[in-house]
Amino acid sequence: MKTLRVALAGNPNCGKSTLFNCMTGMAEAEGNYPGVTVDTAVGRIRRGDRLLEMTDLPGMYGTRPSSPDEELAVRALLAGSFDVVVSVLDSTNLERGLAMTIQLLHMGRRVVVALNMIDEARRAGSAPDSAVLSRLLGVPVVETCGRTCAGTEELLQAVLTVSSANPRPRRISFGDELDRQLVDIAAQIPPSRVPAAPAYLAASLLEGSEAAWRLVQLSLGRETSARIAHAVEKASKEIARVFGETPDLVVTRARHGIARGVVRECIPGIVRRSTDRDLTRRIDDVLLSRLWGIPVFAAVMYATFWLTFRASAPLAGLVGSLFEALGGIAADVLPPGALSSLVRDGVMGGVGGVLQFLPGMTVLFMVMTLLEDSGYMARAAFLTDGFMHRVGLHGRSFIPLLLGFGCTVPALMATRALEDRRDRLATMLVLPLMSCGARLPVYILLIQAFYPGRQGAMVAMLYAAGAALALGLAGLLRKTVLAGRDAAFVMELPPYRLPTLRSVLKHVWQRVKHYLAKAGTVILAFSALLWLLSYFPVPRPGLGGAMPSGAERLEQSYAGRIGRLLEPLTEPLGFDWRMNMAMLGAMGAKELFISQTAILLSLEDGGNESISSALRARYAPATGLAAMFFILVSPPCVAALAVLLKESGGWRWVVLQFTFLTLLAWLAGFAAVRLAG
Amino acid sequence: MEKQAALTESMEDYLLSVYRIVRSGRKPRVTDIAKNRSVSPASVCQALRKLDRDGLVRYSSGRSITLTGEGAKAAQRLASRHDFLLFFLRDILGVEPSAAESDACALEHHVSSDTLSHLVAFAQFTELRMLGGDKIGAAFRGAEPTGCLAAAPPGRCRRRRGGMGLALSDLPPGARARILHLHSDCTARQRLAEMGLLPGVEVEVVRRAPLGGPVEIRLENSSLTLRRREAASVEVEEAPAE
Repeated sequence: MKTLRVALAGNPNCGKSTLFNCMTGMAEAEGNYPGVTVDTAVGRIRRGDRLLEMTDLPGMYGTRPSSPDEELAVRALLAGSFDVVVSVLDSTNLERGLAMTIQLLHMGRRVVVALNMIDEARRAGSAPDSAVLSRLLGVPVVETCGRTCAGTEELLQAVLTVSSANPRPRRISFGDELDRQLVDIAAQIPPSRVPAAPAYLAASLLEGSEAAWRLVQLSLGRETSARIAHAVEKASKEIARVFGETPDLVVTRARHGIARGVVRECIPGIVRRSTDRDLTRRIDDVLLSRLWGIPVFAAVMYATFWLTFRASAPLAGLVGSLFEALGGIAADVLPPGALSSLVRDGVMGGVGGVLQFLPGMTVLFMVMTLLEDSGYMARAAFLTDGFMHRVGLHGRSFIPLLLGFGCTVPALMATRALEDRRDRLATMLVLPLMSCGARLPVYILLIQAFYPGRQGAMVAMLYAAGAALALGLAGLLRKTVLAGRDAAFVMELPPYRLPTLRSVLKHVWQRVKHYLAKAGTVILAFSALLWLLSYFPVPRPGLGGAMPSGAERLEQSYAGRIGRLLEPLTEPLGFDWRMNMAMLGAMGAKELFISQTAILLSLEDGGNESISSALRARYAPATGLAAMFFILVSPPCVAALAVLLKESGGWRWVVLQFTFLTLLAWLAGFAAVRLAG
Repeated sequence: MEKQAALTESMEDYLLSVYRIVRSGRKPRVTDIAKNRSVSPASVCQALRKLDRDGLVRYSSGRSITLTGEGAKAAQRLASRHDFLLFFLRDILGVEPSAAESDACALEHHVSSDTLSHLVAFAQFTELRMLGGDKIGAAFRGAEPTGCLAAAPPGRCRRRRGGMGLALSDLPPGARARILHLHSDCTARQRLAEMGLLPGVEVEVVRRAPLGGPVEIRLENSSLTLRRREAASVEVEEAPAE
């Protein structure tokens, strides 16, 4: 079977991922803000004797990458890694997308154009004529609508048809003077030795594209590239002299000029109708106004957390009792001994304790999805940039930081959309301080135990403290280890869109599935491991044949011994060996703190009292507060550390994060003890 | 170096202070200059009298302070030297911005015009090299080549606000404007250009975010946001409302 490599390319937020999901039936993350796809996703479809391997590239505005995610895409396109490129256009905003299409044609790729969001353009009365567009560009143009998946079948057909054609670089004219310069440069590039058309490479080099330069160097070697560099230099000087402007602007402007001409031809008389954009603007007049912007934003955040805690409380109780009951049944059915203890205390206690919080997490995921799909997330970045900039971060850092309230791992991935490496590193390093969803259950447990009835205020305080620490530290990092000039903040505000039920449900399910998978694997394994550590070694009967009590047994266990070892360090925080064990367990995943405590306590006294009351009986409220702060600040779970290693590309960042967060956690705990005591 | 060679370093600084205040559209007053240079008003008066004698400034007590044609020219020369030196230190050599600023202030008084013109030539050379991807300048700075040409003629390379007309950031929400020039540094410039913010294009300022945040502008059929500082580097002319 012949494999066809197909790429979806286009501006950020033009609906590539939605279209990709339509075609492949996969559930790739999609949202209504620029920069959702940060890694390339691949899906396979079979059509007759062809296997189509679809790649969803991250969005880009041109072939000069300005962030790591764009760089991946640009390199692949330049190297000609795809048989067909689907150029996805936002029909309501053609010009900018067409500038990209023109580059693809100039490069010499087989192109199919997808006029996406055609429904929106029709409503606005400015739908482009696809037949005219097709004639002008000389490639098939298919009207599509990602929302309803309309046009996907036609698009696949067009891709198949085009795939057998010979790719021929299109001649693009930028005007006499510029063309003359381009010809001079292109003459130095032997067409058979580069994977993209020389004329295109010449234009790219003039624009200062590093990717194009690297390609030239790699394919042509030192000597030829030196000659080309010389030609580029000469042409640049000439262009600067003739146009009185830098060549990068001259070339980009020429290309946009062509795109504008095409748009004018293919949109017949524009009928002004009230459009989605007008509606968006009216909404923004309120949501982004100087008066209401920040209050509305604060209210949205507050509502998010309120829904997460309150709306889910009854369900959480239900899940909790279900697992308690299951544990009871297991204890009845299984013969008393190690196995029964493992199932009841280790599995049901550990995993069940964590699953109790599934309803709350589901609500949080749902709200996050709604914010992303509607387009409010980009507004959040807009509203907060003034503030973020002052603390040394970028407004775009806000989206990853906000996602950090859900889970640190996807938030780390989302930082790829940050253009400046220093901004990105600073954001990644402080991300764990944005209290993730897994920490929430821990707070709730500890608050129930020590500060009952003050849930809302306490949780809000912890989240605020974490966020303040994160911002403060990021500012500090940007002034010290990661000092440098700040990157540009140029971003598109997408129009508001009504999220579809299908897509919301799909996203929520994706995230819930991830959470469940974690409960079934990491947490189950760690629960079992902790149970092992706390159950063994099985003590010998003492003198006179008396079995030692639960508490004594635990203290003798491996877990107890490790916890004891750490006691001198954690004593100022009021932690004893049990708390130390739970904190160590929380390294695996923050929720494990609960299962750990549950296991340790239920082994100790046979599980007759609730975790909260057991905690209350053993520790002072000040210790509870210290524990909450310790959980808030301490290094993230192993999964997050692993992703940080991969994304930052260096152990030193992981070590740095681990060290400063551990130190800071201790200090925060200590401060809490002092304040509460 | 003709006339201002006779000027001492501090006289040059006074001249520059007056010039900058005039450029920002305010009336120079003795107290402002004193505050600006952190000296006593008495020494400002003394300096102004000296500049007046040299025919660079018109000043007599009780009257407003103005630059003479010759004074304006001399000051402009000084200012563009300063701007170039700052650009050279900060953007070519990669000197840390605040150090570059203070060193440029010190160097501008001592560098001969011959050395300066050689520095200008060198700056153009390295910037062009970097466009061609040559790593000379970049390897020196220990960075990847920026792939960006910032070699506008020196006096113009890093124009401060004073050197440019109306900026996008000056416009109130609701105003329409046509873009004339992008003065941003090259990475930002390329980004703006690719998103369609090109000379000749008409835009509308929609709103400003609170807390000194970004500006939202509407271009064709889309909304873009840029920071105020980025908007400040986009030179525009006002366009009639639709």
